[in-house]
Amino acid sequence: MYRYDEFDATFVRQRVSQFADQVERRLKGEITEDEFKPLRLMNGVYLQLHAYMLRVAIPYGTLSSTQMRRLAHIARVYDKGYGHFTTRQNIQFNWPALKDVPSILSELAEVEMHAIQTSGNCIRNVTADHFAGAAFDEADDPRPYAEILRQWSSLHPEFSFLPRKFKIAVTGAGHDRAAIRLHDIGLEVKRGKDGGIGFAVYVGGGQGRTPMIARELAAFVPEADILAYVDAILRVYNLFGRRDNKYKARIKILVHETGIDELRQLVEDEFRQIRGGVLGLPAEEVARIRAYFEPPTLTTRSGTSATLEAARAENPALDRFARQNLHRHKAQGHTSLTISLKPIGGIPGDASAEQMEAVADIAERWAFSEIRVSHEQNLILPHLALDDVPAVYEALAAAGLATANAGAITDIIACPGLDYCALANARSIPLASQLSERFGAPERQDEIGPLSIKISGCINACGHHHVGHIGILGVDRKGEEFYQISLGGNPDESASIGQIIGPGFSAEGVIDAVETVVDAYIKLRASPDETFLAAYRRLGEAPFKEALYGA
Amino acid sequence: MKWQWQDVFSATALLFEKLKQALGGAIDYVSVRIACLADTPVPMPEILTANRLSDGDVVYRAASGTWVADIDAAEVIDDAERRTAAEAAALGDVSASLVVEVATIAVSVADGHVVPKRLRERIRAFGPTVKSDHRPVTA
Ligand code: HEM
Ligand code: SF4
Repeated sequence: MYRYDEFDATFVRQRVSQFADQVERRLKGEITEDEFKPLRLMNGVYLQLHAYMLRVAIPYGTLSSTQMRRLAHIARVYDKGYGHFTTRQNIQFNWPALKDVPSILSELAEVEMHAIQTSGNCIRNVTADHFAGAAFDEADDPRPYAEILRQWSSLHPEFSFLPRKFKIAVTGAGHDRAAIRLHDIGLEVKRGKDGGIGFAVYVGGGQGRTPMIARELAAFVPEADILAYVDAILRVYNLFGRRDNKYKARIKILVHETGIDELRQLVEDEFRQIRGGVLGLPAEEVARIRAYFEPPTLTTRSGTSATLEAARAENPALDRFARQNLHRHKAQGHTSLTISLKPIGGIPGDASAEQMEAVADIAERWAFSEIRVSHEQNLILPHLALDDVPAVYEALAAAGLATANAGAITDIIACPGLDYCALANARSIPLASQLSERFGAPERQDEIGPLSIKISGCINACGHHHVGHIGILGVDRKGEEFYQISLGGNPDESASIGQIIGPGFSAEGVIDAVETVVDAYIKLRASPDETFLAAYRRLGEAPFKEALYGA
Repeated sequence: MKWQWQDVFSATALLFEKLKQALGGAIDYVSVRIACLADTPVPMPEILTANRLSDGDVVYRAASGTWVADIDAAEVIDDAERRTAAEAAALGDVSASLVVEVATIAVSVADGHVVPKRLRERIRAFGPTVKSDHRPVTA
């Protein structure tokens, strides 16, 4: 796993002591809030409704058991005993006191963690497929490239004051689990004809108030050129991106207003000038970084596990869990296991300190101390022997973490919403809890099959509602919470933005409305194998509209 | 911060539309807005809220001038002069680095309990409405 180099460690330590000093001066009244606010944001500290919030970066969602234990410790000592995993593969603490933040940051620094680049108009924490390095279908592990991009972009002077925040995601597989087409830049690792590595480059995706699907800028950029190419994109954006209107400042607007072909021309021109210069990516450098991401040495095993099969036959709950929460691994006899943070009726993405410790222990004992955070707000054990699944399942169940619903309708993404967020129009989490309860019965979930519900409390779209198969957006209607439903959104390689289906619903009405949509789907689908998304794409919105609003 | 500007604007915009319809469109927005502003009753009673600088906790301004966590201990203000004075003092506390994000919010008072009008402020006052904020660790 990647470890900080000395530069990082020194830098982070310096940043912590600088910030400690700034906090102290602020508390003494030596600097004003206006002066302090940009400084705290640069260190991941927001002010929400009830308290400060600290956002901690988890680069490409990869965590060790040691780091997870430290997060648990912070939750217990400085917060109310839990943390909230987010759709940006980060963790947020909802209740730290400002005066404690410097101590928290230095505790994080001890385990090579920090809160840098979690806020502001810089290149944010680079995200990656949560099954990276493990998935059967990937061309290669995307994380070394996410890390190279991270090192290049970290505090890059030219890119620290961009027109707006900038988000990059990388996937190693054609099946996109990292929503790369919804990022400012999305990269897909590919193999060229000669087997060499390169990248498909997508640009201009994003959510928020103007959702857009990224366009393909280049079909294949060779590994050696990728930094120069991405740099060229950033330069063009920095030069031409709008700074006059923050809602139009994202690169998606530039792509939209300039057109992909002209933009490609601009990027190519820029690229020609810097190609092969200091931003060339020497093979040795790639090899050095890749070494940090070497997969653990897995024992050779047979493709099926008699132990697991026997346990499944005996225990229907485990059987269901194994059906729902395991993902096929590259190495036979192994799997990647999703630990759902979506207990029925619970709070999406929350984990208590005890649960974090349980996950850390389980990962240490059975899964090479490696943990991932997914943008679906779940945790993953990427490398696990099938033989060990029954034992891991028991241990998870003991910690209240054995919910068998990965990818099911109760695997809901929800932003903090009006319960925490100062920008919210409406609540998200209570809606998620109610929907999860409404659809929580195992038979009901099985009947419905794969279906994602995603909820945001305002148009900033932190809950990815634009790309939910069923998306829910909270709005304010004359001081009342009100919810718009959109259908047909999808974040993967066949990405689409959901369409608002009609007039919105009250907080009471929206749960029934979602059930009406789901029931309509079940009635209309060609067969139980036709997923909600497939059925919606085949049928269009009309029959769903009719079910909701009458003919 | 002093005004609930959104409230004023939405109320006046609505009134304006009605008037415009009644008069067949021949009226001047600015004068109507000024007239409406004068007529719009200030939403009362009100209290002052903020977040404490050191820990971010939600606090309310008591009559003594201290900031307290208990909303029922907030000074309930229902005259404009008193409000102006309280707001000036509160802004002084911002300058003194005691609190941040001062706002004047509309409340209702019943049986000695102060309840904010807006849901957002009720959530700030009484905590998140999520099922169990201090989740017990259940197996
Ligand atoms: C509660 C504190 C939070 C604040 C103040 C906040 C603020 C914002 C704002 C202002 C935007 C819009 C940016 C833009 O359109 O350029 C945004 C977008 C976003 N946020 Fe948050 N957010 C918060 C929490 C979260 C959480 C908890 C998550 C993950 C669950 C999250 C994930 C995202 C994502 C994925 C986007 C979409 C970016 C895009 O436009 O593509 N945020 N956030
Ligand atoms: S979508 Fe809106 S309400 Fe939800 S966390 Fe983001 S900014 Fe807050």
